[in-house]
Amino acid sequence: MNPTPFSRQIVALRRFASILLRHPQSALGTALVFFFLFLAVFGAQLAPYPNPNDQSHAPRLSPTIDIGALQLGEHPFGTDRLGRDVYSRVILGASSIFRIAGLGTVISVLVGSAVGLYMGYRGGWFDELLGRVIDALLAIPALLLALVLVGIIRNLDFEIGSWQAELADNVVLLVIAVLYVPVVARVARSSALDIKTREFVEAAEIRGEPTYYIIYREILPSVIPALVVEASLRFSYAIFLVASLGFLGFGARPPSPDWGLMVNENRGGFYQLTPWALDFPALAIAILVIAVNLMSDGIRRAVQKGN
Amino acid sequence: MKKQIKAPASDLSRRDFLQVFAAGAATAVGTIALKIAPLANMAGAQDNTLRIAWLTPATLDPRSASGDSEIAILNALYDYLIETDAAANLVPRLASSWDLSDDGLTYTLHIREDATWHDGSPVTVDDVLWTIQWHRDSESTVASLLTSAASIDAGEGNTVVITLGESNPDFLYNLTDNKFVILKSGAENIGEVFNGSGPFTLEEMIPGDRAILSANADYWGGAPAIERLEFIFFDDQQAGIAAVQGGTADGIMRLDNSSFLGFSADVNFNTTDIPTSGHHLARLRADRAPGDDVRVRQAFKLATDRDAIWERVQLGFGAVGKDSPIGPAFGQYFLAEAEVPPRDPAAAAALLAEAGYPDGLDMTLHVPNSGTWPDLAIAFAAQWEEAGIRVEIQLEDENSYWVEDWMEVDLGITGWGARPIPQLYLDLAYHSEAPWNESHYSDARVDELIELARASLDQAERTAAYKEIQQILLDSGPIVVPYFFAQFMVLASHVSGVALHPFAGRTNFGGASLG
Repeated sequence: MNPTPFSRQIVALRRFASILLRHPQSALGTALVFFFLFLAVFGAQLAPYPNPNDQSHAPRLSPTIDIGALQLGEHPFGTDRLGRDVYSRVILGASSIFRIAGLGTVISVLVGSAVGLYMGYRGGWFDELLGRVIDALLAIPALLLALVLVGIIRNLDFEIGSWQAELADNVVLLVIAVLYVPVVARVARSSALDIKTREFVEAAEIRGEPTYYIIYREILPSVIPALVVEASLRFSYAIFLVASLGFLGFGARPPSPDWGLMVNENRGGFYQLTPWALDFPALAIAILVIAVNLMSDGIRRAVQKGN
Repeated sequence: MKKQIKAPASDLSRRDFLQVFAAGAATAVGTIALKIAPLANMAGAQDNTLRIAWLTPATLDPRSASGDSEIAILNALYDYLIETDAAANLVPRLASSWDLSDDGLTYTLHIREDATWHDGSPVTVDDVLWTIQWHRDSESTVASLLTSAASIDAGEGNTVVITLGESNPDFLYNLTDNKFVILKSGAENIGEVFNGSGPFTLEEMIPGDRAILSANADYWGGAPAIERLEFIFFDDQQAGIAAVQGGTADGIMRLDNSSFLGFSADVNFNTTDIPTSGHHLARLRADRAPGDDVRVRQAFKLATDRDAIWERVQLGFGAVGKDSPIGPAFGQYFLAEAEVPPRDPAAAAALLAEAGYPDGLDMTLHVPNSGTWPDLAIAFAAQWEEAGIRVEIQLEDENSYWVEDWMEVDLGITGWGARPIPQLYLDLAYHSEAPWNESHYSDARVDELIELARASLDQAERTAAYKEIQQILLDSGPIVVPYFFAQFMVLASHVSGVALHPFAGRTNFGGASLG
């Protein structure tokens, strides 16, 4: 039976998945990432109190979770100083971190690979010029650049409801894009430099194919594995960045159930009073970052084997 | 090929992880070690030294000193003419007594004759007059407090005679100002050299570290029981708290509610909390929409559960507010009998609809980004939302917010520090021409009552005026005052004899003893 192109892709994907899941670490990481993704999508249905700012509970209740007996109780992760259910807030917080880190990663990979592939393929002064800009951006510490950008944009005065104000509200997304587009572009560029000397690219050039076609149909497919690995790495860094910015008070604004923000709000004197209000969101950040890293390790391994 | 190819990227990410975990583990171990190690210092308390943790002072020039630690040092080294106690009563210090003429215009202060400077010379009326002139020459805030005095002169015997242009029943409170310590006539290098008359003398000042003070054996009020008083400086509150927990300091007076709650459960410490007149409030601008409509202001009031906010944000320390700056700390002036309407979000929403906002209100709530202010904003936001008042919380950098924006915004949270008399709040923020009238509030009756209370010498009349103002503000004012915060003091259990002052820096340590 001759495999159709479609079923060939299925086979490749299954092969990829089987390599990814063969290693227990990467299987665990992948499972955890999907678990958090599930929380992010269905959080509002899963959380016992879907309004993250619901303060109708008694404040400062201890966690009721009993792992031995597999029981959650009334407030599994306790309530914070203002009487909000920490369990619900942690669940509801998954969506914002996935939305911002995920969308930011997608934007950086799309823009970064387009720019990088064009630079690599086209070369010349365009490559030189953008290359220097990218070098300059990469030389600045990421968190510092992020803080400067957020600080500037947040302090601009926009009319409420205007698109600029919308943009300012999603400034973290923009920051992730600005930080990671150069990184992705550099990876894409170096891959493109390698691929463009291959025969099939030269054949396409001789056929007289337009530039976008060569980049999109000839070079891109060969670069995708490298980009997938890069994307998964960027995603883990993006999660860390979103959480860091939230913690530093530059990301989500209160009372949003952002994990980083929750850690920040509950440190200091509050930590003695309601340690669980800090511990659980911090644990969630740690588990998610580790899970994404394990998964991206697995992806890299699978991509290399696949090649 | 069996051997796996290792990409450098993987090594890097693992190395990063190891570093992060190592750093995390080191921090955790470090924190635990820090908590245990200072316990060894507990024994240090044996040498009759009381050590108090303060924030690092920025200046010790009486004209610009304002923070607790700055005032605490001045208060230990110098004397005030008059001071206030925890209930805001006037208490004699360098002025042992005072008389008021029948027309209410002339005060005669009797200056103690037994007070001496640390260099041994006696404190005289000339020193008092010189200090006042020094403030006037440099146009300090103390000078501005004395502008209502038509003349200040030496009187018969050891007295200072102050004649006012018009009667002011609260005038003597101006003399209790934190900056108004009495300096020796002709003093030089003020703020660096301290020849005071206070209960302690300066032994050594180590900038950024500590001030070491010794008991003044010749103090007119009696030599302090402790031999030495050390003010240890910390750059942030948490560090000071940790020092007290660990035993490197014996006490602290500026700390957050939750840390205080932690200390109060610990038998090794004695804790004191007193309600102050300091308060936080949410205020609407009353001169433009939507706050110019009294129904909108009432909707905010009806949508708020002050008890719940007090319980959660202040952990029940201090006192619940009744939407006016005059609280229980003012005793007889407080309208204790005022009935705050119970929270009713539906009624609030109905009022908003009546005022032309059937779909509710969308506003930005401006909040200084420090202390318990963000928590207060979150609590307000959740309660108001049920009444259709949807606010976006805008955290503001304190340094710039207090410079300009706070007077402009439509809806904001403001903190007002403790003050000894109600009149100060009213003159500062509630008279239509008040300099800090942040809500741009203008009510003819309130203005009239404020002016009456400012000048009247009839105590009953003043009390009635203050109470009526409170009722008006509760019924229709532009502010929601959920609580009055407390002033705290934590002392190791072997320390006694320290009475906390509502302004922590004015706490006297002369009576302290270590047992």
